[in-house]
Amino acid sequence: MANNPQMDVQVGRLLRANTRACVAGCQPAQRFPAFGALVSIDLDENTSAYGLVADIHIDDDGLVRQLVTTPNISEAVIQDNRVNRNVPVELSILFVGHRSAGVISHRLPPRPPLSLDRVRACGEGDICAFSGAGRLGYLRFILDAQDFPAADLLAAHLLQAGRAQRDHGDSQWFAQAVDKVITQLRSDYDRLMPILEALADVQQELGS
Amino acid sequence: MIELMEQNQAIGIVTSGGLKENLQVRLNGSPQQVQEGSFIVIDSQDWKFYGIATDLQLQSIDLRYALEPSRTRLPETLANLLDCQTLYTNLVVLPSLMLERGPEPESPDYTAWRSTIDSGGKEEPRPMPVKSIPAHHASVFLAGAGDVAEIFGKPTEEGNFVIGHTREQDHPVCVNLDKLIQRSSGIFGATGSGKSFLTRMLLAGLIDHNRASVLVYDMHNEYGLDDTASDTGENVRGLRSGFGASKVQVVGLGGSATIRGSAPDFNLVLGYSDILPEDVELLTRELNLKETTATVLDALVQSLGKDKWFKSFKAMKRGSVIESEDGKKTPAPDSVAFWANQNGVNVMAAEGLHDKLRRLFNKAYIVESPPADSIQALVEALKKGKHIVLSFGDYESDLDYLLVSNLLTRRIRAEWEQMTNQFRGKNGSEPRQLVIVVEEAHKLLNREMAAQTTFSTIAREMRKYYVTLLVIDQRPSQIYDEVMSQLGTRVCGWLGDEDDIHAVLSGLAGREALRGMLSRLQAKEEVLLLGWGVPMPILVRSRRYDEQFWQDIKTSKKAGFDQAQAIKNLYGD
Amino acid sequence: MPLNYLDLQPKIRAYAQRAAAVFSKQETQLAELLDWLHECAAAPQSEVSERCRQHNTTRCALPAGEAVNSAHPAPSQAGACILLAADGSQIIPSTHDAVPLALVNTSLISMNTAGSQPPGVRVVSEILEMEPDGVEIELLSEDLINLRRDVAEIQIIQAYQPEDGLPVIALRDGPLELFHQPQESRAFKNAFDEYIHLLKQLAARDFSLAGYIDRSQSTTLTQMLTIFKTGQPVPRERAALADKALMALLLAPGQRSAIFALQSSSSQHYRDELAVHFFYLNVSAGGKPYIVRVEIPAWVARDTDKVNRLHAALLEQCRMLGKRPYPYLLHRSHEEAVVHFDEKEQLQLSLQAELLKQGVDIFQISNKLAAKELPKRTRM
Repeated sequence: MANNPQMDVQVGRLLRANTRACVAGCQPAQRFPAFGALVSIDLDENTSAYGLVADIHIDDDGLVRQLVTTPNISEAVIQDNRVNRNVPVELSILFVGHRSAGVISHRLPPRPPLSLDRVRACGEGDICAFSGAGRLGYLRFILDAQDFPAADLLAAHLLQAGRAQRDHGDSQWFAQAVDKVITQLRSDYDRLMPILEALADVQQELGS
Repeated sequence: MIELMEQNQAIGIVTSGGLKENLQVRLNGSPQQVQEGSFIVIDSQDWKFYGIATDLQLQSIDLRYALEPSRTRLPETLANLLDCQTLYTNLVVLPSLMLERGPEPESPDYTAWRSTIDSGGKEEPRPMPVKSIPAHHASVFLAGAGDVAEIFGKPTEEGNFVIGHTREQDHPVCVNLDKLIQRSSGIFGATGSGKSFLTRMLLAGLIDHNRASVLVYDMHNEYGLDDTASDTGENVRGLRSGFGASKVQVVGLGGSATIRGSAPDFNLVLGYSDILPEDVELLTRELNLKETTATVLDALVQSLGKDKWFKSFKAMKRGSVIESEDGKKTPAPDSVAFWANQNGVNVMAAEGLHDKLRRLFNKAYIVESPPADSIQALVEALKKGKHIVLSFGDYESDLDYLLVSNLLTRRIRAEWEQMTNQFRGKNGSEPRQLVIVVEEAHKLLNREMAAQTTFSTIAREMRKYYVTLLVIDQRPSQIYDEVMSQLGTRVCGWLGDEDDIHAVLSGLAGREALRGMLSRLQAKEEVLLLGWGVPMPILVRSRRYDEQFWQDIKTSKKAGFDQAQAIKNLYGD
Repeated sequence: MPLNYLDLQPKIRAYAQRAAAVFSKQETQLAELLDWLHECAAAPQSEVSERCRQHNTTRCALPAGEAVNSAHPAPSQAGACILLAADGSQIIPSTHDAVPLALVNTSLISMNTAGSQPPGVRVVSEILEMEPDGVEIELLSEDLINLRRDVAEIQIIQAYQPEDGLPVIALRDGPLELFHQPQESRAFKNAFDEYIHLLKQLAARDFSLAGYIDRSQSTTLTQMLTIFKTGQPVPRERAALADKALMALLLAPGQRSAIFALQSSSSQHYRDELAVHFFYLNVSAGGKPYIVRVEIPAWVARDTDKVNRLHAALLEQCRMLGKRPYPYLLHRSHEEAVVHFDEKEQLQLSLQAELLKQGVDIFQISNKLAAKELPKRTRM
């Protein structure tokens, strides 16, 4: 296994992938990772891909549409639809880097993972290692993401990583990340300002 | 240590610019860390560039960042981060000098570079006018003490006089006195800009350095003896008080003149024979002389002699007549009209001139037989290395000033020309360098007078004869262009008038950039050094003319340089 | 080729006109039948039964104790119980497939009606073989596969082990009385015997088994009334009216009919506690009635508590789907059991791969099927 054992929390398995993103399925009963969480997928013994949960799909169907109009719907039926019928919950994962032979890189993984590869939620140690490596270059993947809500994805990730870094003694990380975001988007006022407003909320939550 | 750290702290980077349109520097921090006129150093590879800050401009990456304060939308920390990247100050630097400093001292390249110089294969690098520009992103610093010393000289070196300090970091800025006296120079500033104090200080420096004799035409009796400051009421030490009569002599105009109640070291009294027609001619405006004056004067010299014309003309009577037996009135033989008739001069013209010269005839400092040749005594004193402050005492009118200063200067010029010619003819010793200090210089050097007075000649030519001028004026625009252009070093305090500013900057590179700076100088505090005598224009906070100054002079400690303090700065306590 | 609408137009009109006439006539017949029902209720049930037994080859209802015209309102609530729903689907082998394959897929969904836990789901998939040890090359008949599916549905119910002592209601989609009569084939006989055997086991475990028929076309009640009134069943040339049309006149929303016993040619196979009974239920919550038929074995029909619990549970389940009432769990078991086309494709591929691995020549789809599967026209 290419990753730190402390984060060995499987959250799902891979459904489909390309070089930039993948979709994993997971049981709805379990606590699947939150939007913006960092996950990793082992590609082989020495290589892992890192990605952010960029979207979570809960699909509806005719039965659910029929049920929502029914009064006094029983808890068992609600649970049936959540647990039994909504399988799997699909997580879209945006690749943001990889670890190869122990070295973290903020470039896309060398190849996408394969069907049914295990998707793991990263622990704080791994989050710190990934977000603290290099010069935050991976933020470009988030900001350039076309099919995902980039501003909120960024905010969610910076909250998770900011907490981890703060708890591991680096209280400046969040400010450095914001600085990087500003650098990347400063020529685009219309995009940058709403993103910074979202990050203002994150800062408040971090208490920094 | 603080000084060194500050020196190493870059304040920004070069982003664009050129030799013609100045250099643009993006500042790292607040605009207030630099002020207009700051001495700026730019490190670019093997070269150092020196210049001054001429403008500061607020800029933004996108105008909207500037128009909408980020704090209205973001918490302070994020707002600060945003502002740091989107709002910035552009510093405009007028580059003046460049100096090859060679590769990094620790590197092998440096050793090779150094040995080439040491072996004579290359000249020792020295500051030279900019002929190139620093590269993109070259680091920009506020000049450290070392940089200031590199360009303006070390305060400890002989001949370097600390005239003031850099504004932000208080590094001493020197003027090389040997260079200053090689050409005529000027001190300018509007009334109340601190011109007199600056002059006193510079004169003290010159006298202390003692490479030139100084003759001050002290029209308002400010420089010789102690005075009281008009604004603070404090005692202001005069040059003679400071240096003593053995070095500086105060000469009073007139036989029994006293200066502020004190007796001068000796008196200057002019003899009738000293007054020449040309002395009268340059008083044309002052005396409102007619066009016929030259003709009349010429006739007077021709008929009465060069030495006696003044005496004889003064003795003539105006309007005296004799009556003949037949009752006809004719000019008396001692009358002006009689002389005019005898010499074919228009009677009315002669009488008119006589009327107007009456103001001269009545001057107490012009006598028929002076007790001694005081002019010659004065000249001799100067030749011997004394410094003279000629106080005009009660004779503060323009007429007195013009007549006496011109007459005296004419004599001096003749004397120094003769000495120089003898020296060049191997018949004498090298003349003593002389600096003539002219107050209210525009009265003598305006366009109308310049052609006639000796001063313009001195300004233009006398450098070769060891005489230069130090002109002091509040209206430089009134001084004849040709004279202004000859002034090597210009020390300028605050000027409000556009014409005056233009005049001071005439003939200098980067005039446009310096123009605004001159109009924003702080009166009595700041001066701009310009011209040939200084390596590059620089704004300095002028040194205070106070007891400490005199202490420094007396103890021969180079002003502004406290060795003990310097050691402390370098190595700490 | 598209339909020839020009030709169809007058035929459609004629069809609609005939249907309107039929409906109009049926209304008269229904009113008459309703009268008969009330008359029948007034007569002794033994007499009614006796008349019907005289036509013992005729499939019809028999009174089973409750007044035949009675309507029973919904009990207040089912109370806590375990509700099971089983359904199955099958793949019928086709000679056109690359690998003709018969498969039965059965699901069971179990829910504690008083709990908040998600229902349990179990799915059993079985490839059917004629002989226990051979690869099925000869095709199984559709009837046999359907029978095997019915057996599998009861089997999965029987396999259910309740975790606590709550009463169990087990629903299956369709009648309890199978129409696949035992035939000469041993496979048929074995399957049917197993079905009966499983029913007996369920009876022993006291599960409240019920077959839910959503759109019943049964005429057993009409036949009973016709025999009672005329002494003869409905003549062959005349279609009998469906029971549900009659019950729609009788049952208010939520009400069930009386329980009837079933007389049919296969009754001999369902003896004693297995004897098939049924009632009709108006599952509509109001407005237009929606009549469904519920078949129950005798061991349920004789137990009023079980009947009431079943009645209430069915209504609760139907209410969950709102305006289109249908037991929620039955729908869910269908969802779990149904084999989709792409799943069948996947299964075919897996089977082909495995056959190749075993060195068996791959069967190919028929040319006819290949032609059908040619891609359709695409647009540039």
